[in-house]
Amino acid sequence: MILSIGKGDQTAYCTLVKRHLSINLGFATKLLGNTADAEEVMQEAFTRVWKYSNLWDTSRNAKFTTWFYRVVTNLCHDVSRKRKPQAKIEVLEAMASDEVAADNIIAVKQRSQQVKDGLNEIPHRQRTAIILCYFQGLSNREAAEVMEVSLSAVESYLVRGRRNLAEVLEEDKNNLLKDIG
Amino acid sequence: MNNQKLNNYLDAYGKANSPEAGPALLNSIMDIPYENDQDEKLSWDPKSIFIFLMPRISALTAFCLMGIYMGSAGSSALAEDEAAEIDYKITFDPNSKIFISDNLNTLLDIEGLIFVEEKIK
Repeated sequence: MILSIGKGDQTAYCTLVKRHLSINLGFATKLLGNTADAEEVMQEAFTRVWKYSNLWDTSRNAKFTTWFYRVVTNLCHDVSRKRKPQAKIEVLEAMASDEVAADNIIAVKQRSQQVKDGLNEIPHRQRTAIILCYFQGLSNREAAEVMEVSLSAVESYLVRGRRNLAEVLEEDKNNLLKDIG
Repeated sequence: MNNQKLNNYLDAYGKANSPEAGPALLNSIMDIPYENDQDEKLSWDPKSIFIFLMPRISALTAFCLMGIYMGSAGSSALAEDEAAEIDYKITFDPNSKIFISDNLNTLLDIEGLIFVEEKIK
C-alpha cells in the first residue's frame, strides 16, 4: 500500500489513514497527555507519509506500522521537549461530592491525572516503553524495533518505568491522604 | 503499590486518553495530498544526472565569470583611489611658466589632475 501511495494513489492514502489514525492518535495522546498536541503530531506524521512514501525502500523489509510508530514517537518527543512544564491540575475539591456515580467519575479522572503527572515525571524512554507495550499492545520485540533499542533495553525500561511510576503514584497518594486527614 | 493497582491506574489513564479522530482532523489529514507535493525521487541514470547538474553548473560558471568581471572593475576603482592620493602631492609652483587653466575648478577631473602633474614634472 505504501508503494501505491508513493506513486500518488490517493485512495490508498485514505485507506491507510483510516487504518492507522485512531490507534496512533491514542498513542500520541497518551504519550503527550494532550489531545491538541497529539492532533498536530498526527497531521505532521501523515504529511511525512505522503511526502516521503515514494522513497520507501522495499529492500529493508521494514513494516510500515513500526516505522510510523517511530515517526509519531519522535514527533511527540520533539513536542514534549519544546513544551513548557504544565501546572498540575488539582481536582481534589471535587472529591467532596456525595453521589457515588460522581465519585467514581471523579476517582477515574483523579487517577488518570495522577498517571499523567507520573508519566511526565519518568524518563521519556520508560514512558514510551510502557505506552507501547501496555496500551498499544505491542510485544517487547516490536517495541524494541520502534524505539530502535535492544530487546533487553526495552525490558529494562518497562521494569524501571513501572517501578518509578508506582513510586510516584504512591507518593501522590500519601500526599493526598495527608491533605484529607 | 502492587502491579494490579498500578494496572488499574493505567487503565483509567487509557480510558481518559483514547480520543476518536474528529471530522476536522480527519478532513485536514485527508487534504494533505492536495496541499503537499511528494518529494522527487532521485534516480541515478546518466540522463537524470545531466538534467540535474547542467543548470547548476551553468549557473556556477556564470557566477564565476561575473565575479572575475567584478573583480577587474574593483581594480580600476583602486586606481582612482591612488589617483586621489596624487591630488595631495600636487604642488603648483607660481614661478614656473607652465600655463594652467584660468579656472582651477575645471581641474576636478582626475585625469586632468594627472595631466597637470605630468606637465609640472
